[in-house]
Amino acid sequence: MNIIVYIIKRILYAIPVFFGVSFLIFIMFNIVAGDPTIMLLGKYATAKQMADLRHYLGLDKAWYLQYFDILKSAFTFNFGHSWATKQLISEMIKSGAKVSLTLSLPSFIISSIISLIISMISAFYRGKWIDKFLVLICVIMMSISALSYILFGQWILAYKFGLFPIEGYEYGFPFFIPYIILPCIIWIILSTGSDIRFYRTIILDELYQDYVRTARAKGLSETMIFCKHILKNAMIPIITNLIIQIPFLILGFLLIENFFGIPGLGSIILDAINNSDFPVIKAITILTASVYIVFNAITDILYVILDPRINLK
Amino acid sequence: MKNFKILLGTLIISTLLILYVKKNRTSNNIKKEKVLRNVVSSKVKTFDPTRSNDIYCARQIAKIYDTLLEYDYLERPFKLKPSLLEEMPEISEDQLTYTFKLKKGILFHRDECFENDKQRELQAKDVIYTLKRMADVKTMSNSYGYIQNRIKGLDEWRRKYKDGNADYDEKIEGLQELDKYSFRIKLKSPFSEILNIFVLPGYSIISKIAYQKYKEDLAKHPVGTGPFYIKEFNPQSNEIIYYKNPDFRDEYFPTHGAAEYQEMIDKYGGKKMPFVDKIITKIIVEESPKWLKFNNNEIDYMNITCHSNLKNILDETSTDLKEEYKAKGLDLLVAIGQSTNFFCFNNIHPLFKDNINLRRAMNLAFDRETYKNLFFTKIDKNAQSIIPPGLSGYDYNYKNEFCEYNLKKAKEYIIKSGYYNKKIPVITLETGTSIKDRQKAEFLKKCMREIGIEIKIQTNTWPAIANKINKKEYMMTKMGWYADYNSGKPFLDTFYGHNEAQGLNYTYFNNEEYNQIFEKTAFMRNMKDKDRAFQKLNRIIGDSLPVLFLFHTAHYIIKKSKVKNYLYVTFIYGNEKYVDVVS
Repeated sequence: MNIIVYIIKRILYAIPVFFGVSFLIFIMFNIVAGDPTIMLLGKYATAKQMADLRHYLGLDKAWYLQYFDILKSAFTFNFGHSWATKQLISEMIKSGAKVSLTLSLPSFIISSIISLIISMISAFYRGKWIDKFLVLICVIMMSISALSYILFGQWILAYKFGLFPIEGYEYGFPFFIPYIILPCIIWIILSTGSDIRFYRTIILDELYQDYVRTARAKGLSETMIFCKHILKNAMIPIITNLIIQIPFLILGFLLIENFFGIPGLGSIILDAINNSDFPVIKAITILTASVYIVFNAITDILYVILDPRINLK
Repeated sequence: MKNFKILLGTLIISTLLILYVKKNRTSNNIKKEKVLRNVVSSKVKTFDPTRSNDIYCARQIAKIYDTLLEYDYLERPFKLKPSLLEEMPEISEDQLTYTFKLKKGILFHRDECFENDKQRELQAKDVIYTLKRMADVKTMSNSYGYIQNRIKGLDEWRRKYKDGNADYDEKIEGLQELDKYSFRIKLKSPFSEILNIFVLPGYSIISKIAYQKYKEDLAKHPVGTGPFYIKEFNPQSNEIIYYKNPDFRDEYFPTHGAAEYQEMIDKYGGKKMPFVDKIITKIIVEESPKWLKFNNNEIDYMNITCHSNLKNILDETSTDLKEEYKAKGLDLLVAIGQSTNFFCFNNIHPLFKDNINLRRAMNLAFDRETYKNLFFTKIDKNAQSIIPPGLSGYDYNYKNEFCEYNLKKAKEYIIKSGYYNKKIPVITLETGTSIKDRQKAEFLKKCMREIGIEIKIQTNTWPAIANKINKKEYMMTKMGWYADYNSGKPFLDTFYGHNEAQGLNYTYFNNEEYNQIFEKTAFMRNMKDKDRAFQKLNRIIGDSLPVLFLFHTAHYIIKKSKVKNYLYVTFIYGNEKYVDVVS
């Protein structure tokens, strides 16, 4: 099968997935979640007032019309206004995503580089003390909760030693830099443990393949085998893992953003949940699902491009 | 590699530079101006008063906007006084017509929406516009509920424009503009609480011109008449900076008040307010960074809500700080909040309906002292009924015999409830999602097990609980009620059987005697009569036990001694104008 045909096919597959996801979101927010007018109008609201507001918000329309509104908003990127802050939701998402990326992107890049290097060292020295030590450190890092790192970082590094601001954020480059250093460090610590373990397993998997034995039989050096053959093959699942993480970068890290007062998308989501701000939650859910579908498709396509063993049929 | 090194070096240098500049900038500012630094524990969603719907927004809005009336800061018991008004409104004999006169020369903040100072002056048309906007369906105002079905013609106007295209020029019988500074409100029936309502920040007066220019953006571009103004606001931001309004009217610190505030009166009485030049309000949701910032001298005062932090700083009496904290120059303010917490029963559920003995047994079996030790402090006051201390209707002599922990008596009442040797159906408790909600629910479960009642804990989001209450599909849930203003009425409202509002009578309590007295209170102008009637209603609630009473919780505010005149009262907003910061 031609690669172009495969790509078109993969995109077409994504369409029913998108409809399915948007329908689920519609059921979750418009049917299961109940009547939002109670929350919007407060304790003194009468049935009449609630009916008026339901009418104004279009909640008394037929279900398929309400579902159509969701689809329309997803395609036009016009999600309307937030119920809580009255801001344009698309603007909120744009500004929140930008802030989240100032934190998540450097963390992601640095943690990925560190994880790759350490996992390669660990796999190269498999079974030796250095490998065991690195694995032990990874397990310890993974076992400690995010909250502990945050509290420790804020208490010791920020408050006691005064190395970083305790919390806060300033918009615009380079003013945000001092505020994101500590959250970035915590993010890196949190993500490297599991990433190292994952990448190490992938590399080790490749170590026992036939082609490695063949290379050894041919008399190639261990370093040559590792760098030229093993790494090349191990890169496919590693790249997949990295690409799959990208959509989540715009969402930020809910806990870190909340504790450090970083006004990113994670913090917007949390506020929206606390305020029952359905339009915002709905918009972010649709957006995340859409981006996830797109990146999933990209990963599949990349798989085909990078790994000639995958049969298009 | 070389490029990478250059990039890394630039990053490090720029970071150090920013930190240095920021440090200098802050310290220079503090030297020049009187700056008050406080904190708010929740995101501030809006600066549009008509649309604000929580106490956090209300406290911020009150710095920028003004209401028609306000409570005297230092008078106890609390007393209403004019704020934007020249004098207290004139009330007709039949209590249906209220005539208001605005102070002349009150100016809205300087803003590009005004062409000249003449346009900036507060006028009666602004008040009428504010009230109409509140009634407009499109505004989705939480505050409208207080005046619904009260003002002649306003509800009809709202219904007429329920599609959202309201005609603000249309005359409404109950809202009349008499001249530039006077207006009249006509009520459908007497409603003596209306003046208290005009104190709420949701009833702050907005400028018609400003709204017409900014529309939805008024939420982030407030134009008020208050003591402070802001330059810009972003709802996602974690800081709000308020500046002293140079055109704020001549308002002076009170020269009279309760004896306990005499020192403040002696020192500040008659001085022009506000005292501080700038307020920096940090928005920090989590307790630990808030606490660290306070200790790091970045915040001047804060409300402590974390139980473990409280336990760490309070001495054995729970009313004062430990010596080590006093030595740091810190003060503690303790105020019994005008709030009541309780677990409520669905009084139309077959299990609770007409079974006062079961409700008595459950109240008696609840170990309030242990509960208090676990989740609160010694100073939180056990609730005997619904109205909290300090509000009209609170009865200092009333002691509810069923709010005392007595297992033996509780078991006797279980027998009386008709469940002797009979299994009591499992009671589902609808509770919130937080750890604390769960812990409190577990405690109730433990207590009720002692009298043979099984509690099933069901966790929900707040909208889900509200939905269940609305559909009457719940058995028990946990609730709290805060005083909106200085009256027991909002508390009593929640038990009025003919209540039209969905979210109000969530216990579905319906007592004929109670309903009749409650209806009569709307006509009462004499405060003593009203207080007596509220006391009677409060006793009916206490005796009928439609809820399992818990506490009137205390508020703890820790502050630096340099902060002067700060008082905490649940329903007094905008107290920053009275506060001074001394070096």
